[in-house]
Amino acid sequence: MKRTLYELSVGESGQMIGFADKNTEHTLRNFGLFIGRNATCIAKIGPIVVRSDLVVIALGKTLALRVYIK
Amino acid sequence: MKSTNLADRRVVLVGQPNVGKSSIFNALSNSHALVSNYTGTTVSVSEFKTDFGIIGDTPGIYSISEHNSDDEKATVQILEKADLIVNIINARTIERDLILTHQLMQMNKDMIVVLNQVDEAEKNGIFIDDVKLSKILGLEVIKTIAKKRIGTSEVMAALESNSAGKSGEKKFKKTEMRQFADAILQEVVIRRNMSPESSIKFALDKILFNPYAAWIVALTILFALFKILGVYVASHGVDVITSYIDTSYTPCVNSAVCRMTQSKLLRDILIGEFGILTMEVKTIFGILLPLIVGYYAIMSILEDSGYFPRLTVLTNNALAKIGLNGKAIIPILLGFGCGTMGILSTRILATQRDRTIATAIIGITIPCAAQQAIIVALLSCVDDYRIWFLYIFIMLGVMFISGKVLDMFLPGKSSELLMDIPPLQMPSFRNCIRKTVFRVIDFTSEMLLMFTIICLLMSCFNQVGLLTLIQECLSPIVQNMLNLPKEFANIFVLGILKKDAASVSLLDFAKIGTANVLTNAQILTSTVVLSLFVPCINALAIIFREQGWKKAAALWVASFFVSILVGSGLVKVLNLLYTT
Repeated sequence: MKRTLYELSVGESGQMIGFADKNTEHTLRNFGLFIGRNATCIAKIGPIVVRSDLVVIALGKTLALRVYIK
Repeated sequence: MKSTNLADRRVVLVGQPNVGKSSIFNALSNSHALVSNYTGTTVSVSEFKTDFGIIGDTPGIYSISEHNSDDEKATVQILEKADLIVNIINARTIERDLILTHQLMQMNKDMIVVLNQVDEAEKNGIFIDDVKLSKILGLEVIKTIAKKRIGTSEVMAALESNSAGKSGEKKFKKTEMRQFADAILQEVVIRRNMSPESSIKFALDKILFNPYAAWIVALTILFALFKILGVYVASHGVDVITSYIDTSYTPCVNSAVCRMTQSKLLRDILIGEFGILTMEVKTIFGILLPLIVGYYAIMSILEDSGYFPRLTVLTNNALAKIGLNGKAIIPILLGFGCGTMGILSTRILATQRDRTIATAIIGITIPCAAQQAIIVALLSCVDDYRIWFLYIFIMLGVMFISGKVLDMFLPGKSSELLMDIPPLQMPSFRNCIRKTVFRVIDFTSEMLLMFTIICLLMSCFNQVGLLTLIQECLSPIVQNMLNLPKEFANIFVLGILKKDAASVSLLDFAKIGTANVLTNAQILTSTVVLSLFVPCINALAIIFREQGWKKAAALWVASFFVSILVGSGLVKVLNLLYTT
């Protein structure tokens, strides 16, 4: 079963390997989150806050569940 | 058709959100567009005519595609009419910003690239070779630190010398966006391992992203805001100024006007109950201005620090219960300053549904800064702490129910939170002062005009006996349902025009007009009714523009009935409370 971005715990990192749909991929690419990129969870208070390189993004739970990582 | 004259050409500043477009715009045009440390500060296009073109500042846009929102499509339309594009890139996030650059280059227009916030990038170990980047893109590339006005004169010189190159180098025209960005990054970006970002910022972020500590910080800020505005400014500051107006200014004006004219009508308009020279001056300069200055100064500091985006994360779950996501906290907070500003800021929300819910909440339940301080002053007249809890409970309750109802009945689903979290920064003293001053000037000029019209109308109504007639007509609501003196009808009329003016009038009414006549219960009822009462004329005009006349009218009617129904329900509860 694929692991999602939302399953990262605080301090844990994962590499993005896919998206549930094209729309999510397109939207997140604009924010600097794309396949091959690493993301580190820095907070999880309902939404998840991830750091990818120097970009910090807050994502709602449903959106984060549509991002697959390894 | 293309403009050939330098001064007539359209120069459009474009870039992703929060890259510093408004800072560059201010530097180029010497104007005062608001600059803050969060995504979505600029919600509409500003234009300024200069010797080197008509400069347009646009709201941030992530990309140009079929997925663009209506506001983003508006920016794209402006871009299509541009003679010259100034693409602003945040050097810290160059990798993702280059995607937009790639799309802009496909437009085949004259273009300059501005690499902003290079200091922040270098602090984080990102060094960009601007000369190499310029060669690869075939465009002029200028490094800037716009908030310190470093490099902005070079941008101006480039615009004046008309040295911009044509975008759309052949080799990039059809390439895939990521390949384009990767190829450039490999050649122009040098990464060095730097010491981690300021440990203070890191520690602060740990606190602000901790679910418990973050709420403590938010409540502390709220308490400080209440203490500074409600206690120090509203009590001490306002008292000093109003007592000066009452003892020195008003008697002088009264005697001067009495010497000047014998006309009763003119005296009434100038120095009567709603006198332009007395009531207007005291309300604007004695009561509202000190509160507004204090509120905007605090908000400017919070906006500049980068605290707002962190608050969106914290409040996301709470706002999800009323069909919104955390991003809606920004318009709601701005609505606490001024309803019109809050409603305009709903444009940062992703969908029309989110905007409608946020607009309704701001329009119905959020009192503006001036009102809040007066509410605090009013409730301070009451020596019963239960009144405070009841007031907060009612306002939060109405906010929750109205959000919930709209969430249930509006078609569609609420959008998901997706937001950039900019780094925390020390607020710039200069920027905070600048923002406060310009907001206060805007507020005062708008108030002077509105209050003059209101005072004139009220004086005329008073003269022809219309106020007495309105009092009689509204007495079933005011006296029977709300258990308030019939003179409260005047405050209703003022509230339709301007809610803060009505609040000031209520404060006068409670403190002076009928001293010891208003009971604790009446003070709470009148405060709740006025807080929930219809949006004032300015706010209504903005709602009309943003949401259309049907929604504006529905909101007006709904808020009128909500205020009366909640007020009459409250009277019954208070009867029980004070008889038991």
